[in-house]
Amino acid sequence: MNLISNKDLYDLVKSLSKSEKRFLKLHASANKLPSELISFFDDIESDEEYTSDRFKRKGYSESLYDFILKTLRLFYAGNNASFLIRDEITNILNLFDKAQYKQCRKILNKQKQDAYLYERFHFVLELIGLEKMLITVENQFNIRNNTLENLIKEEEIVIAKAKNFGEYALLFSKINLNTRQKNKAKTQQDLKAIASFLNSPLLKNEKLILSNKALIIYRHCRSILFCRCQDNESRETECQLLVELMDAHPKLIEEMPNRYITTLNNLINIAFEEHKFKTCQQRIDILQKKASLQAFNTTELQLKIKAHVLNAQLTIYTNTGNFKEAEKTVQEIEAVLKTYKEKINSEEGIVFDYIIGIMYFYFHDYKKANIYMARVLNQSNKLLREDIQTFAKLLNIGLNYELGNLKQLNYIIQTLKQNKSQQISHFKTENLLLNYYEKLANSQANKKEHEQLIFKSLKKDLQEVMKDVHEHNVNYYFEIECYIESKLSGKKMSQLVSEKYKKACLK
Amino acid sequence: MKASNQLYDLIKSLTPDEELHFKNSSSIQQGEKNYIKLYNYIKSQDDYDEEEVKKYFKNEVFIQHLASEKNQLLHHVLKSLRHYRYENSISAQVDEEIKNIQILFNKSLYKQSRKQLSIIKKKANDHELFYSLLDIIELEKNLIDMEAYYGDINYKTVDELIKEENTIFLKIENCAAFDIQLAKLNAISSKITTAIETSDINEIKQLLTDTKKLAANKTILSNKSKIIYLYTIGSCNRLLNKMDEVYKLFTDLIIEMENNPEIISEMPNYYILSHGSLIRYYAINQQYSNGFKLIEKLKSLSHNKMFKATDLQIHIFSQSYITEMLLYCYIGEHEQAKKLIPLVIENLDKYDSKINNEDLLRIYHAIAMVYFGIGEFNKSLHWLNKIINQNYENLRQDIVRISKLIYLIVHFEIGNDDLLHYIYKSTLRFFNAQKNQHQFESLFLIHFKKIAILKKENRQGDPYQLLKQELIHVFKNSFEKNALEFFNFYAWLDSKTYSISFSDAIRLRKENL
Repeated sequence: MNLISNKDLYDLVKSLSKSEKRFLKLHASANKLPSELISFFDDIESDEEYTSDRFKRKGYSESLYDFILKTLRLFYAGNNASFLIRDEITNILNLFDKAQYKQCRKILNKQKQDAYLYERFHFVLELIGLEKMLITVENQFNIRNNTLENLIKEEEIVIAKAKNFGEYALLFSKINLNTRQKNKAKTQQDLKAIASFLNSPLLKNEKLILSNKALIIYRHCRSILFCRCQDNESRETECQLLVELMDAHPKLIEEMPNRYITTLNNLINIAFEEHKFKTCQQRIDILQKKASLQAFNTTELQLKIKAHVLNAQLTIYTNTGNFKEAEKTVQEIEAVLKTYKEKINSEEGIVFDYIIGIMYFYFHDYKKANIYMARVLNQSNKLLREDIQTFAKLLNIGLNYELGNLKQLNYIIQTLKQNKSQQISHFKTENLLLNYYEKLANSQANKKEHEQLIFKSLKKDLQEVMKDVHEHNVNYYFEIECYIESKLSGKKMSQLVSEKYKKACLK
Repeated sequence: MKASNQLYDLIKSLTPDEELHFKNSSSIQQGEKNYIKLYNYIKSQDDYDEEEVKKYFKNEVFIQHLASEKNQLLHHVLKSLRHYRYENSISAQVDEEIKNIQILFNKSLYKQSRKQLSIIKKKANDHELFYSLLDIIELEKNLIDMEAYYGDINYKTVDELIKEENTIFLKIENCAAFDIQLAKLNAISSKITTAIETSDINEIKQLLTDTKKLAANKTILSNKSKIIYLYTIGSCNRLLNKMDEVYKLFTDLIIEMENNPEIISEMPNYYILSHGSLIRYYAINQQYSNGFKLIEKLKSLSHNKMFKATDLQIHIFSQSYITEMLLYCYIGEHEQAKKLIPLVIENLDKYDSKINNEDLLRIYHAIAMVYFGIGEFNKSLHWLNKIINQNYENLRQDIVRISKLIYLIVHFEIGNDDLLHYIYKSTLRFFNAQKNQHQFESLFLIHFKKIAILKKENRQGDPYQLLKQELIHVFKNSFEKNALEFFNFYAWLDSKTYSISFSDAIRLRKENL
């Protein structure tokens, strides 16, 4: 167990579910595990925080870590498809070693059939490897189940499928990386890049697809690209086809659970972006119900479902002016963040902080909003969700303005202006807002009564900018028109936002 | 592979260590367990008899659902064997540890998952476990995806992983290309030990050229491919009777494997069979002491953990005992060879239906030769009958054909004059029906008729020596000469001329040579 630290052991112990712990205790007593190790486990488990003092007894950590992993392997032996196939492969090898060739053949055929159903090309290849061995023996007994030539042909086909799948996986990875940096296309150049992806041989049509798994990635890639170029109709079609495909092949849901969850979440997002909050809520419910499926029975996937559901719920409550439910959701999010701490990935963390910040902004709790926006701005990876980080910077200025932190305002604006000059693409609205905040900062320093005039002027200029349809996407990040209106009318921003989406609740 | 009860066979095949492991792991569960009762009773049976099982447990409730109880027992035995394997095999350990990567990943413990992955991947790479590596890379793709979310981009990119994956596919395909060559060769070598017919010779020569070309064009991409390559061209040369090449290639193969012991654990069969080929080389080149030394080495492998599998034990048994019996026969020490027979028969009973027909033929022939050498012709006949009376289709026709000739000789030796007439005719029909008759076969049949059937006085001299002289001429052809490997015609003819025993004739020939 070299390279495994005490902190690793602590994290592993703390990650165990109740049922896993119960199984571990049973397994420990059945295996007559030394009582010192069990009490060591209990001590770690009772610790609220990691302390190095706990791990002074040498040698214990390694044994306990190995024992926990061994127990978990047994715990999941029966309900993890790949573990089951792996065990059956070992059974085949054992039976082969025992010269039980007929039984070997029976298990092999069954496993091969399953591996094909799951489209587990690597397992199919491994099973073909075993079959080659078996065929050699069967030939010596004059039994002809298959020929080596046929097997090698089969192997070639499977390798071709695996390679094809690899090509799609690679393409997906490129598109995904690109998307993480820029969610929506902002410039013609972005749109051109998307079009070139969509017209590439692998994504243009389904001709080159050799397996359902590849087809799933194909649809996923296209849905992402349609999302980026805001073709929600095509995006929805791809997502629906993907869900239909996976529903028709439930084994593939077990095989690619992440993609299934992501697609259901995409359908939620589409409904939200299309201002169909009722549909959005229905889709949230569907996703929530899926959480009980065996295929999603891992911390990682449960967390993912939880994150998507909470994210969508909060956005809906914020946009429908339901502060009470919104705040309740924030508490739930905080609880999740506390429980799962390091397991929440940076992207999910940024999104959570941003939407909570937005919620408080809309409900005029600028102090709280400022805390969450600051969390977004503290993100060390500046390329991650660059779109959100850019808006967080702008809103940080707005919040400082609202909170009257005038001394810092000019400095922040200047810094941001300098940074923005280095950016390749951005919304025109971003610059507009930045310029007006600069004016506001200067007017605040001189005459506060100019605020109304400045916002009126901003409204006028914004109308001009919004003639570019692409600029409407700004509202996806921040309801700028409602914000200006709230400043001009004195109405609460949350009220204006909920009025704007009144009809959306019916669809 | 005759029909058998799988559970019974599996239980009976457990080694003492495996049985101990099974008993220990079942003791983890408290209380009396029906499947253990069932296990103990089945284990005690000499042959599986389900009626007896039902009778024995007639008062037990579980007997009403015996099928499910048997299924549970099978499940527990297989599970115990799996765990036993993890403790003894690197590839099984790697496969088990791959689960750790996934468990830690599913718990969102990505850094720990990465640590495990790095260790296991290295192990899988070192042992050329291609399929495990593919699985690890698949998990690594998911992992780097999550690592990217955390801004941790210190590891490989998907691009690099796909390249790595494609390299493994190439290695698998490379292995498969050599596998095909070997399979083609196996189709020939299952029929003969050495090629005699021109069509066989040409086919093998073509195969040898193609395999060498393949190695030159595609290059050999892994140690595994190299082993298959060396084994294939070594076996081609064996069939072509180029024994110096055989020695060089199989020695290279054994050295290659011994320098990479992890490959022995992955391809133990090749290691065993290569020893078998080298022993044959020593026998043909009359380096008998080297042959015996190698047999001892081969036998000692059966105690090595790496070769504990029944399948390998059978290979070691057949390779070592067949060659040992034959080596004693070659030097006229048939009495020494006879001492091995009880053990050979014990193993034949033990492994029963698990020994393949090719090895069975070789074993029957070897035993028949041992009994022939010590003059126990009836016993020799018993084993020859096993070869002649069963249809082995195309399998080892060299042994089948020569056994037909020895069969005639044995009946002649016993003095079954009445039968001999009939058997001779039937043998003649058999050879006439063959596509090609070898020169020595035709010659032998003609002379044997004169000697044993017509019993004509030969004015030209001793009929045995006349046959010998003609055989000497025919056996100048190295391919025809291989017949002597299966039966020493010269020694038999000398034994008849000089009225000495067959083994004495062999020893005398050896001394004179």
